[in-house]
Amino acid sequence: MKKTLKNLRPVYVVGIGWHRYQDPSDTSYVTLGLAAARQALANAGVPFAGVDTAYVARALLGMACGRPILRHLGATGLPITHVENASASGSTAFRNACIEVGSGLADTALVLGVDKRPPAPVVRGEAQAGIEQLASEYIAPFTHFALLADKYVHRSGAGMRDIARVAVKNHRNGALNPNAQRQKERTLDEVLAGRRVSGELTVLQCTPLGEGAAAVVLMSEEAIKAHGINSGRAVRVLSSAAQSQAVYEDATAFDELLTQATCLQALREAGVAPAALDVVELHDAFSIEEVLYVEAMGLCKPGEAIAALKAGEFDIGGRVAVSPSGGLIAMGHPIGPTGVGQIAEIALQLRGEAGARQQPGARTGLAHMVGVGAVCYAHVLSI
Amino acid sequence: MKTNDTHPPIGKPSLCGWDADQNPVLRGVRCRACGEVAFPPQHYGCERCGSGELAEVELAAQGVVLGSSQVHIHAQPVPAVPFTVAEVRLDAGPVVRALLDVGREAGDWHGRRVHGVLKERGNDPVVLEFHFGVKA
Repeated sequence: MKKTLKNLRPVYVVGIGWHRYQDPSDTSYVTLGLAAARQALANAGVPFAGVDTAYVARALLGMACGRPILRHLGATGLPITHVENASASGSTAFRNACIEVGSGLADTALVLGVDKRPPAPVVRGEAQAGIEQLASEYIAPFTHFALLADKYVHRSGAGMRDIARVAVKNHRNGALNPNAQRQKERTLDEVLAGRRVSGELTVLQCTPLGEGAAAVVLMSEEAIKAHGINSGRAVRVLSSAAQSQAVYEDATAFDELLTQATCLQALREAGVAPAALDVVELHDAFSIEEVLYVEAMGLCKPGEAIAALKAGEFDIGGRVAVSPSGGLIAMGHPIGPTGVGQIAEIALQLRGEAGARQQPGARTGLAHMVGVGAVCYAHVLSI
Repeated sequence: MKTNDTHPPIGKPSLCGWDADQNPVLRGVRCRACGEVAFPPQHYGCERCGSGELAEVELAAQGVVLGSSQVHIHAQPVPAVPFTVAEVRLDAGPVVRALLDVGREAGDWHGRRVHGVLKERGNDPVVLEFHFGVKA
């Protein structure tokens, strides 16, 4: 019989760190990665020599970028695993590290996500598969999601002005986050008045191009005791779910259906109902995604996302804080770090250490990430 | 545009062409094992059942617009922005995305019936590109 993460020994997030997500710059990826890793180790209160295994997530940097970073923490000879899984690279690395600690193969793991924009565009595997597409050269990701927005507007009766409220909320959250790439509050009129990208999607409703790093330290209970770590700040990883796109009856809704299947699996394995979630970090690379995904994962009924958004239910201080970090729209989406940064934000919230953007009384959170292809990852954490 | 002796070559002939009556068609595959009809054509295997037995079929280039988007930012100079992309459910089943032949006109094309057209694109060389045209 297959096991779930909950069947393995408990795994905890005990350290978190970031290098601020930022516009593309001359900063070395080594500098980005070291900043996040050192901060996470210091946050955990463990030396690098105490780490048994390391996972490095990236989607844009060249192969084997991990040791050029980690050797500057002292080359201990630990195993380093590099992970590429598109936008879900960081989430995938986190899942694999959880499994390694949960299985007992390691007591302490460092998960580092780091990325920089390469000089030339990265070619997707699908484009190299030898299957010609009719109009893929005209359909950038923002147009894929503009098409989804057009369809949502027609089926729900919502307006694009309503969907843009996601960006207003997430820019407001990002303005409170020192690690966010965008830290400026925006009004609805400002969001709507920006340059149109595709359909009614404007620049401020789309994730920016950027770079950065995020890291978390995972431990078993034995390691927490051995290192004398305050268990009251240790955040339990209750479940880890991973799926890829299947053949659905409605092929045009694969984004929502994949998210729904993965998130409901993660919640079921954690023994947590959607209504019990206090904080959610999700893949809001485009404003319409948050609308689709909060409905798909059961944070509200189908067709009710806009009403809940308008009522402030997804605000910090609302029923469930969605993307309190600022999400991909404001926090940013440097690719490799993004999924790791989501976990770190949720750990920060569950510890009650998120300062001005703290969701009051947060005890349980979910991190959701999709990667082009498509793959989807969801993790449920609690304290 | 219909074929004649002087028409330019089709840009992606593996995906589209003309049927026996000189109407634009799309080329797809039908799984011999489960009957799944898919676009674009490929012979690696059926996405629904995994069978490698795929037969090429012509798909009538007619359907209904499920969604559309007028694109305002494009990395290449051609086509000039704004242009419109549509997601269309073909009467034959598959959902395909292609340029919508509406020029710079912004509109709500949801639910409109469309048909395939092969339009000239580029200068050197001129090729025919598959678009959807909106039926009156």
